[in-house]
Amino acid sequence: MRNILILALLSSPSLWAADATLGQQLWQSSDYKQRSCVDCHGTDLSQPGKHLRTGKTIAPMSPAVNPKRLSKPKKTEKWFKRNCKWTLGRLCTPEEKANILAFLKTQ
Amino acid sequence: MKQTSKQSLVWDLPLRFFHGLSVLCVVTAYLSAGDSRYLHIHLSAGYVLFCLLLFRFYWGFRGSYYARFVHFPLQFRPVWAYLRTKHQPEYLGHNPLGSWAVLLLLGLLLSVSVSGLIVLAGEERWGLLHGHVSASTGELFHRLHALFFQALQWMLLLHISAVLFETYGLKKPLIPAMWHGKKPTTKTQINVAPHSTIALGLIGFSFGVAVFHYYDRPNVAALPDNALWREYCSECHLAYPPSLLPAAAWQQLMQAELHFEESLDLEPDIAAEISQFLFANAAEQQHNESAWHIQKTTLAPMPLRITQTPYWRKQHQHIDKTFWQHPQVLTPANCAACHADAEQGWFQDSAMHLPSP
Repeated sequence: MRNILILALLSSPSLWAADATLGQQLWQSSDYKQRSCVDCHGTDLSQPGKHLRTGKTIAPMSPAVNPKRLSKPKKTEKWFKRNCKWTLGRLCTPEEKANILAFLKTQ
Repeated sequence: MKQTSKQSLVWDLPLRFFHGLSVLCVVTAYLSAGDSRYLHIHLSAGYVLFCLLLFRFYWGFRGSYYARFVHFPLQFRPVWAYLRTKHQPEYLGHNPLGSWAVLLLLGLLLSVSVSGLIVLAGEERWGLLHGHVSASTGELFHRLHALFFQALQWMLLLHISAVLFETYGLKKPLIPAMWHGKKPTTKTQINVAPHSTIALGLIGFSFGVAVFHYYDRPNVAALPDNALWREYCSECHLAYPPSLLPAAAWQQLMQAELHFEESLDLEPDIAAEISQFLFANAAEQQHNESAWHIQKTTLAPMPLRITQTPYWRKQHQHIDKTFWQHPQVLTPANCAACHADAEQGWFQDSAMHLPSP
């Protein structure tokens, strides 16, 4: 998966300049379905979130607080796939993923 | 001329302590029954009562004269005579009717406490008989426990009415006698020693038993575990123990295209291992209380949610609807909000705590 990301990164100019601000907009937007990333992960990413449906505590998303975050590309890709579908109702584009990763890294 | 009658000791100290402590235990157990928050108190009272009864039966063979069962006038003739005549012979110990009442009461108290121990072992996997009783036997004895208590209630009502009647109606001082142990008599008395040391021992022992059992915890074994099941299932929700649904329900759940409204996208080998673990340890394969009830009452068409099984609904029917919106609960699927041992999969009554509003 890392190779694919690198390939995608090399082939698409927009991925060269992943935009954390756009990532933040997508993270906080609720225009798509009834859900937004914030619903489960919260607004302060250094704090644990809470699953909207099950009430299960979700470890903080900020890599600075939770070093496990974004450490396994396979896991990151798996959750992009599942959560984009559940939250936005579709898969995320490589650009959107890059923007969100850029945003998460600033948190 | 003032009539003087001698007061002679009939009820020794251990017997009177047995009586008083039994009353205390029965009242405590009655008040703490049926509410998991007070289960420890209920159990402590039951254990103390059980020990007191063991002592009373021992004392019925080795105790002082009037405490011994062989000296109870239990034959048909004295009972009949006692019922129909007003001029009864004087009984210093229990009278014929009272003797039968005492034996019946002791029998019922023993039935209630022993059936309680069996319920505890079968349903909560806890206590003296732990490991020797199945969940189905536990359920049967739960009904018997309630039935015995019903009988005991009526018997106690009769006992209290009879004693009140004898004391105030027939002017026989039964109640003061159970307090200070003495009855007025003109007959040649039989010596009864007070047995103070044994009485003190009984009190101390009862207290010890109560304290010990108050701090006793269920000795439940670890349930089957699987690293993949725990890791993958607990990503979004509690890793629900396989024993909470029948194998057929797990099968449908794992074969469904969507997991409720989400796609799980599990790798085939991971999905296979998790499925295998769920089927192998489903409700049919486990012997704890909830698994036994769920496999017995969950019928086709299989519900895919644990909260849709008849047993879950029955167990939670008295919980107020608004309770599920509590910020610490959110959904009935959030078992761990109230069941402190949900992660371990035990769901013991003693580990249940509703969050405060």
